[in-house]
Amino acid sequence: MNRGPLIFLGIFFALAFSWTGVVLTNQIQYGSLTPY
Amino acid sequence: MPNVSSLAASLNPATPTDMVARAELSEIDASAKWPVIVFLLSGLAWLLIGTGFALISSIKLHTPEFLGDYEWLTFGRARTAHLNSVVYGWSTNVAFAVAFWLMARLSRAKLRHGGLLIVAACFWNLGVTIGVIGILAGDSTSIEWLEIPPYATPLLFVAYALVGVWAVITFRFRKSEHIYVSQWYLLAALFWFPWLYSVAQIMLIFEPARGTVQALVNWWFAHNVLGLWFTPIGLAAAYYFIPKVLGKPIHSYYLSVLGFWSLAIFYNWAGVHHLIGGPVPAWVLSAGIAASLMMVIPVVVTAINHHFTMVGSFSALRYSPTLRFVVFGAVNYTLVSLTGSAMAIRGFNEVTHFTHFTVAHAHQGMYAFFTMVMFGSVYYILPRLLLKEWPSATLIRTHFWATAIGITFYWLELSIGGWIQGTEMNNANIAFIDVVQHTIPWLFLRSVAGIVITVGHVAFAVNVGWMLLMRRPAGVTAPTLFHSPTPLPTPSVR
Repeated sequence: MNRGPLIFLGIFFALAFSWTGVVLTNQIQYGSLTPY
Repeated sequence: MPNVSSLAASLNPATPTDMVARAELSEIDASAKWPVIVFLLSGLAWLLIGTGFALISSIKLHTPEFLGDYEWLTFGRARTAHLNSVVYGWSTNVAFAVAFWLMARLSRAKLRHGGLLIVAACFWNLGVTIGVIGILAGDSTSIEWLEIPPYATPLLFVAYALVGVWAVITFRFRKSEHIYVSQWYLLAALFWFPWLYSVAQIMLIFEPARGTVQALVNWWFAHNVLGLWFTPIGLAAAYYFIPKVLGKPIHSYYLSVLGFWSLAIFYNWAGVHHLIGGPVPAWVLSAGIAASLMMVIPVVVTAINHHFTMVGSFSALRYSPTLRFVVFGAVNYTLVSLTGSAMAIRGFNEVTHFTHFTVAHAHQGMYAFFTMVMFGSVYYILPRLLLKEWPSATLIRTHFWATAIGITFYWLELSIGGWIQGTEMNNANIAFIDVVQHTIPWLFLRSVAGIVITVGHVAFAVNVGWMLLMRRPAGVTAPTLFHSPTPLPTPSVR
């Protein structure tokens, strides 16, 4: 693992994965619902 | 900027290679000296402040009338001031210091324009100071791990921008072609933290998300601050100092790769296990539980790698303060991570959720693992920056045993007390007030453990202060060790 750009891409997509799953998906799914 | 290795060589082309390498390291240390020292001393000040708030809030839990008339020191404020002092004051300052030094050393590159890093340290500490005073004044945001009031956070952002950019510049100008495992962890941590912090600030403070999305963002942030900021810095230090002190390579390069990428992929999903039983989508919780259990892979892999690096050299623990602190931290990394995986199992979580067991777990992670590794790192780094040795082995010994015994006792008794608390809370026949009263003896023991830990911190602070103030010896001095190694027998000459 001596290639800086590949390490960067790896660490970027690792956090992007959970950010998309935990934060973004739920925000889109029900984050803008108004109180009933 | 002069090129040090060529400078030594150009003065005398016949300079031995090892002497050129030593000159180069010494110049790198000189370039990092003041930024690292400023971050370290700021961290030390926050450690003492945070310890004071810890004792106050701990005593208040079993003796509520203690300092009961002071509005600024109610439990909610003192406990929150403790958390923010030790997380953003001590831990982050020392993480910056160790990360900078490691990055410069491993990149074999001088730290450029260190003065701007000192400015960053001033901004960071000003931000934390305003934040902690704001919390004591009652301005806490009440969002866990993000309690610092919004008027202080811009200072933290400016400071972090300077710090992050400088670390990347140091890496960019590296002379070493090889990127060591510690550098992977450092780069990842320095990239992940601003992402986590900025998303959390935007979605929780400045433009709050609605409903339970807030809770998801909060735990995505808070758990990842541990796992993707402090843990990588702690592991980077362990991967550097264990082989460095022993003078041998890490056991397996491939296990290092596996450990790094499995941590990167699984840890960032694990935080939502804090919401088990909460009103959030079931699939998110299941994904979080699965990721928490998959964390066994990086933890076991890292433990094997560190253990087999140590095999055959355990006797070095008798002598080296750095090694003893770092190995203590590394062992606790394994224990705390495996406990964390167990706590994500629904049946286990039903008992431990909302109990002191979680508090014990958090302290094992942040203190028994991270802080102990940082203490070990400071024992290695500071003599190389100040060009003088630690003045007192007795104070180092006091520091180690007080903190090691204190935190082990803390973790053990609060885990037991927390487990009992959890089983009693699940028993409908026991009144809640009785459950609360049954925790008092355990909370009292926690204060005792806290006092023992405080003794260690005072010993550490005295040793650092003494070292800063004492004169630099004229000649080369031997490193300060716990014991003097037995000299090898002199071979007889016939």
